[in-house]
Amino acid sequence: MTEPRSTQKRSSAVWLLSLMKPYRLKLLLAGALIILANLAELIKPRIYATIIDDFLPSAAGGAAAGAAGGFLRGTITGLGISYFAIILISAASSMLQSRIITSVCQKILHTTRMRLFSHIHKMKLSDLDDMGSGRLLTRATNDVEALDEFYGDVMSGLFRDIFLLSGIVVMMLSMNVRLALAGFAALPLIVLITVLCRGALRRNFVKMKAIIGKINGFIAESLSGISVIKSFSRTAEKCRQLYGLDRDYRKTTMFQVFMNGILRPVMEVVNSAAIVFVLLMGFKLAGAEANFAEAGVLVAMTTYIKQFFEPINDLAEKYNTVQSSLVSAERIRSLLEKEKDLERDEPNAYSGTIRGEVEFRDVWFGYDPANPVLKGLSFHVRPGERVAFVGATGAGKTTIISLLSRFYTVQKGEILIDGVNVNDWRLSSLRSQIGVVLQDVFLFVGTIADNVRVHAEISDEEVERALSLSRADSFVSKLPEGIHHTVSERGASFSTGERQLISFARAIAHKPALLVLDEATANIDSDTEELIQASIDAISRGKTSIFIAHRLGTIRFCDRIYYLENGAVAESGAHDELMQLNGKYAALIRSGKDEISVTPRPE
Amino acid sequence: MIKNFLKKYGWNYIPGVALMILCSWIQTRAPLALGNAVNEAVKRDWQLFFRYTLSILFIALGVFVTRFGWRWFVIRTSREMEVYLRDRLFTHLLNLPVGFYTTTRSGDLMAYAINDVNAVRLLFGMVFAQFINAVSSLIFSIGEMSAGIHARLTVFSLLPVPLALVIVLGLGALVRKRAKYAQDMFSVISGHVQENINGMRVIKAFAQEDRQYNDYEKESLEKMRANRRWYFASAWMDPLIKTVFGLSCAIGLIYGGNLVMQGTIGLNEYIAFNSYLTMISSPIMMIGRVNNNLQRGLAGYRRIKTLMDVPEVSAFDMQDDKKPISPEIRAKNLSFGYNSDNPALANVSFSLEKGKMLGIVGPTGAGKTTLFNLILKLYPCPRGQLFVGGRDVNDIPAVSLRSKIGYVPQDGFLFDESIEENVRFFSDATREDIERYLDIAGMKGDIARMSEGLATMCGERGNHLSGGQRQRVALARALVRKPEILLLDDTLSAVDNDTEKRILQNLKTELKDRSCITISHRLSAVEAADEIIVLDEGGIKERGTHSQLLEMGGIYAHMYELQQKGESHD
Repeated sequence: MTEPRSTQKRSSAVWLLSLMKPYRLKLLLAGALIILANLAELIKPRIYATIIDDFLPSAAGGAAAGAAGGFLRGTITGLGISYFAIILISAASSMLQSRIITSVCQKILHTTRMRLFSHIHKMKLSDLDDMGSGRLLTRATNDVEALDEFYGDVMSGLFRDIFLLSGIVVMMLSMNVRLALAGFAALPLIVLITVLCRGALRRNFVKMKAIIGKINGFIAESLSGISVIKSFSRTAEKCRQLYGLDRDYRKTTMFQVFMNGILRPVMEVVNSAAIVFVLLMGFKLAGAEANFAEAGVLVAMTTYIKQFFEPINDLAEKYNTVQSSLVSAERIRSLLEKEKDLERDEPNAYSGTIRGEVEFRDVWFGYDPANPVLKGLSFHVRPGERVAFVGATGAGKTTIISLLSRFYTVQKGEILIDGVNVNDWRLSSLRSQIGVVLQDVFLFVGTIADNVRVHAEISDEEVERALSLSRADSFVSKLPEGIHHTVSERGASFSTGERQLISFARAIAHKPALLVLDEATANIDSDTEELIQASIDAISRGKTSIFIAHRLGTIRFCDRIYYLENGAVAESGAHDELMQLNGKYAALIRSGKDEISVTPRPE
Repeated sequence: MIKNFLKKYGWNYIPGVALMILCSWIQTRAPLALGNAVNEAVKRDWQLFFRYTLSILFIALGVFVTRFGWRWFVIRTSREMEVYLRDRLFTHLLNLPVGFYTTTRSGDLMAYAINDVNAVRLLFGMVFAQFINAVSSLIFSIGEMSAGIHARLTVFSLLPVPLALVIVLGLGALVRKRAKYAQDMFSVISGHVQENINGMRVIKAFAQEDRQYNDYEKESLEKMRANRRWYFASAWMDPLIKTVFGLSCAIGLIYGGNLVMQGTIGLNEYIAFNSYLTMISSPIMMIGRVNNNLQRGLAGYRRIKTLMDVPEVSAFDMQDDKKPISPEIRAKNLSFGYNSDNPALANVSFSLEKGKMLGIVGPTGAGKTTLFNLILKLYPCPRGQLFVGGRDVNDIPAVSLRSKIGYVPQDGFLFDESIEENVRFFSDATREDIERYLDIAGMKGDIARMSEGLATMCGERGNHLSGGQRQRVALARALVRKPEILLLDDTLSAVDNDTEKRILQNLKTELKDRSCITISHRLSAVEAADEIIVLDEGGIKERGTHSQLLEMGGIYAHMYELQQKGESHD
């Protein structure tokens, strides 16, 4: 991100254009159609001028009306019909053009969406965390929609506007150079007004958007904190805060109303001034040039001048759209460019059935490398053993889980599973064999069965078995639809404990070779608590299991306990041994009555 | 709700509409002036030519002044309307009973506050203006064409125009329908992406990337098709209208040309007539948008109106009667249910004296928080069942009652302001007070470690702080108001044991002349209480002091045993 902004924007524009490459031919066709469609706009005034100049003056003057009447009448009809024909052609080609552009543009958007989606899947969790879910979501959705405007409105619009502008200039010059120049006299004024007013309007608009964003955020916050506001009787104060924000907002809107009220009408005054210039010049020329005196030319000129303002206005308005689409494009591009940071699932890497031997050898790791969480952690778990990690908050317990599944890579040392370094395992093979139960249970939209299966091919019977093993059947069986009960809003209808049990079932159903479980610290009532304890015991029996334990109930059936301190093992052994040792572990157990560590880990 | 606004600002619409009509009328002068000027340029009558040319400029200036004028009167008023409506709506929302929020999602309310307020603003501004403009300029143009130029020419050339109207309205409806579907699809794909981001660990752990990709691809393709269908439909609009008006113009050119040649109308009128035809096309095209925004505005207005009609809490509850309230709480067979068939509390009785503490324990859903909601008058309480300071809570204005209560919610909700502002929360507490109570709440050390100290911003819902920190700041917020009654809803659940002990110790001295009710999952927080109630399924199952309850050997003792397992194993 060291590029200066202007270069960034330019390269984003280049990137956007490069996405269009596969559709070159179609776009070329669309371009041709745009020209065809807008030629009509250019020709229309000319036909009109021809009618007025070549046929009507004589009639208006009344001189040759009778003599040439029959013939002229026919020709006017002919011109009228060709006028309509031109409009038909123009309408048809502009229709076709916009269909082509739409098709191409939507395809590009689809491809971009898919690229982003798979990119997000391959991102390392550390990068994902850094970026934040909100921002990432914006990249994948809103920013892509913003490109729609770039391709749809801007690309075809820009091309049309430029073509029209230059077309009008050419047409005017070709009809009469001096009249044209008189018309252009107002041009500098238009540019000046546009630049000045639009700039002020844009700055004000940015301010306006910032304030309205604040206002909306404030309202949302107040609504979610309504019971606090009421409990403290602070309704009036909160209202006053909003009135204050709204006063600031009002000021910016007044400026906007004022400027908009000036800008458009002033442009029309300038427009009329240009027409007046043309008329005056026309009057002068009509006297000076023998072959002039043509009303049609004047009418055509004034029509062109009127047409001239539209694309200019349009361009000024599109400037904003282009800017914001380029910002979106830049964001998408910079995300997609980080390809080297992605995870790769090497098909040739080691894959095999995990026996369940886990070894950490002098592992150093920090989410921020300068600030290591694990400092030379070593331990060895043999197949079939159940071990627990305990220790104060921030000792690095949860980190162990993330490293085992290779969500992050260690900075120093080795992690071996079945004697093979996790970095040499094929990612998909490694992860699919490790059953991870996280503290923060995530439930997908779908039924309970879907959530246990997570798309794997597991029969209903097996799902039921897993649920009963995890003791989740105690509440699932009470639901009218049983395992086909739909989980609403990420499982909000279930208690923390119930969600935990579902996630146990998920781990069981996938028959992992290695079970890794981060116990919940959250408050769970005593009955559920007992259920969970029994469940953990049942699902881990005879299986290599690693627990990040917060409860004594779990610790007691473990073969070995590691007491972590400062990112390394300080004490290890069975519960009784450690109590006998009477060291830090024993002190920890005695200090807390019900839980070993109650402070939740920082998010 | 709109009446008051119109009383204050409604007059703006009178000069607004007058200027709008004047503006349209002036605009319809332009084509004639142009036609005349061109005509005289050819005829070489300098004086007349100069007059007509000058009139073009004056017309432009007139349009400028009148247009600016109506925009100032009407559009400005619509912005006033936006602010007024939002302020009123917000005030109303905050004054609604809390029960309302359990049945309405705040996301919907946000949609009212943002989209509907905007739609109504447009209705009272641009939509109104465009409608008046369209109608008046249509009337003036057509009037000028038929009365001033040639009636039959006008009728013939305008023959195709109704077709344009049909297209605008009919096609407009189709475009609207398809646009809505495309927007719905956007929500679908957004939802999918969001779920994937949030559930990334699970997806990776279960190697579900390919499956998710395939599902998403289906949705993305559907979104692509939806967009395409929407754009395709709207791509018909412009060309069709242009064709219809092209037909009008062609008729005008041919028939009008012939009329000129017959000498029925002059060249100037011919030129003007064609300008009028172009002028008519824009109000017709605008009718589509006006109709669209009109629908949205009316729908938005109706939704806001319905919302504003929900009764607020009574005026009685909104004022402070300044009467002192002694910190005694008594419940007499208190029963309450959020809905009729499912009581949250049933026959709960207790009595809490000044200087005493009541502990409440029990499983989730036992009705513990409900009790607090009733004491705070967040929900209507049945008469004769709950008394504070000897008075039925129904007889104490909510504001008076709440000013005596320090409430610490379970989640420690904080506002996105500094820690200092959150603790002060509009009270007149000094900085020293704030620091003192943060110290009592055990936050001193944490704040000392923050680089910005008291000025640290808490973030949305307080998410820049940890759960335990949030709870302690919320505790200080309650204490700093020196309440008579303290309600602690599992306030220290995310605080570690040592800190909890220290805070409880601090609280003991603070509570000397006050009363306190503590809800807790952790028994350590209620051990010292003068009475402990075990609630389950809305009713009192056991009561007594800590030691009495242990002796009883019931639910409480069982809970205690579960939480004590570690030690007993020792």
